[in-house]
Amino acid sequence: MRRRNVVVVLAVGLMVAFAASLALGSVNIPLSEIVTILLGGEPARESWRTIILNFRLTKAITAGLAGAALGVSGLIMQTLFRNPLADPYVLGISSGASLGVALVVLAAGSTGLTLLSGLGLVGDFALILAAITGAAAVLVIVMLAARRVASTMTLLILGLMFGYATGALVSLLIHFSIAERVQAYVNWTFGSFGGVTWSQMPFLGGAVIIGLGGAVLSSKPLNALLLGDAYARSMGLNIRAARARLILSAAILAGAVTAFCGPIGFLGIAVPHVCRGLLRTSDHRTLLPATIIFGAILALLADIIAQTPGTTTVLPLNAITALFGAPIVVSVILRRRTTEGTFAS
Amino acid sequence: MTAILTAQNLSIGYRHGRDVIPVAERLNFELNAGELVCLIGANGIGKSTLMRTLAGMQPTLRGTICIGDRSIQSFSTVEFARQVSIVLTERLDVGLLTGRELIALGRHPYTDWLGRLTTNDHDTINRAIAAVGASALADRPFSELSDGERQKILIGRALAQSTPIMMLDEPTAFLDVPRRAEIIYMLRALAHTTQRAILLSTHDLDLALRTADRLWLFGANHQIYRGAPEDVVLSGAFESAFADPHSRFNIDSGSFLMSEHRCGIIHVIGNGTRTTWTRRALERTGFQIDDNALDTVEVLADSWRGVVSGQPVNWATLGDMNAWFREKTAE
Repeated sequence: MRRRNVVVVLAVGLMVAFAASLALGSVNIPLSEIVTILLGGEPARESWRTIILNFRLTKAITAGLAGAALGVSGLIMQTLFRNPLADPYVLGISSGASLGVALVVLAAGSTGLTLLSGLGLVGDFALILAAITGAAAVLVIVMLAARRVASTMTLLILGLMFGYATGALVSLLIHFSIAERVQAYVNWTFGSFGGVTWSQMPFLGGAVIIGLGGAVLSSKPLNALLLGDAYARSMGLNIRAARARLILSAAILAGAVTAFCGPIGFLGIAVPHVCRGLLRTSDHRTLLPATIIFGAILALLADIIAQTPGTTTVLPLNAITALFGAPIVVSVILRRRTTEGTFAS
Repeated sequence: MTAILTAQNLSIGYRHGRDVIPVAERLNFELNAGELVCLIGANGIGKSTLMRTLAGMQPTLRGTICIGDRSIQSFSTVEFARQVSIVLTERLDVGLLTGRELIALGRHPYTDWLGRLTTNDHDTINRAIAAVGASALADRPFSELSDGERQKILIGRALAQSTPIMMLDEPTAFLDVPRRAEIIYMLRALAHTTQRAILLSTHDLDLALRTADRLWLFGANHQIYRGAPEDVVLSGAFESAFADPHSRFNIDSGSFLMSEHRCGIIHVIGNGTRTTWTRRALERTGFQIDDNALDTVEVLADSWRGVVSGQPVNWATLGDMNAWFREKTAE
């Protein structure tokens, strides 16, 4: 009964957050006008239609998709690696995307590259392409490694080392780049939900739906993996196939979001933990839908705060998610210490 | 007696690249329905390798293992999961799963793609919970249970998997003495009532001798001695397998004794319970009990009288007696 209530509250919360994301922004637009615009009517000012349809609506949809994707990706990684602090980026996916973007922004010549970074906008398709390529390259390497490596822990360490190595390459690129290009790269790392246009939306939406579908189809293997690889295999799970499917889903989700929105931290760690806390369960058949909805809500809220409604200031999205996420992660660590303070673990 | 699992000419061990490291070779044995088998042997002798190989977690080096008349290699992962269930030693961190949810995971090889439980599944789960006496624990989070309670839940999970064979790796490792006995007696009852073949490895030799229907003793020569516990002991295999400079298996009393006799020999006069514990106290201090010894300790109704090197001496407690001998030895 309690679980059903939580789901209802989450669903209502998602609608409220989505509406608030449309209603709040640097320009004050009355609610009635927003409804008129969404229903296809004529607003009092023509510019409002552009703001709502081409800016706030795409941004709200992007935030919702990104939050759901990062949350589910984090949930998969936490269960797969049996590590409460694993996140979508443990396998080096964001590092791969960063390297791709860094190569385009920092190393490429000035020819033909225009970077819109004024309004926290990263509108350049080359950037997205670079991020996708980088994330996909890491994904392929990780999948090849996953087929050879028997231990899930080894895979985790490989991912971490891969992240460090690409991070080092990015540092080198930054060191040899001119200041404006470094600025453009740094703006990308701040993260933003505002850069996705209607023409790009099908790519982001399609990737997120495929990834979420793969995750929902894997709730049974995820539950078996709660007991670890050995028990899961003894219960009839084909570990390598299940692991490959899960890594692929998580990587598509995190890779697509990173490509279109930049590396957005903390949502992936924090969302699954909050859902476990709210629902008091580790059953993925309940956790997955809850993570999808709550991830979307949290991303929408973070974006609203980053936009600082009523002002023209836009704060870096990553700063907001970290300010929200860090206390949650800290509380998770502290709570684990007190409830499981055994000598063995 | 029906053999469920048979091994023929089985070699177990590891492969590292081209190197083959055998742990035991040319083993022949079978597991019978309705029997509790305890696998014992010194640390590092290969008990875990054998268990892992039988549970399909590690390939064989040579020979065959058959369940029924099929080689275990011919089973798919799901088919094998319907034949063999396991309970491991590792400590589990399963987040917020309750005992019942964990036991329900045992139905994994039978449920649909979403893991939905049918009425039949729920019946099996409830029977498993009742069989391990976990009705009061089932709805509490697994992480809040004691070691003994966790072990019951994990055995319940293996039961819910409805397999004719169950293998447990040191199920009594983290438990206190009464809990160990409870778990092993429970497993024996399960083997008898459900006609499962239950194989468990243990270091608890005394308990294994007292409860196992059949003992598998992994000897120092990498062979496995099998039989009723008493037959294995009488064959002398038990003594040689656990031969050690510090302790010795006493075939007459069926227990282990310290084999350090730094204090020499002593004769104990008396009988009854007080005499038994007097012998133990003296053995603990380092004496070998010998009726031909010149030094004696006589057990009286409320004290002990000794004659050591011809001198009489009296003690009020066994503690005083041992302290006196320790001081004398130190001189």
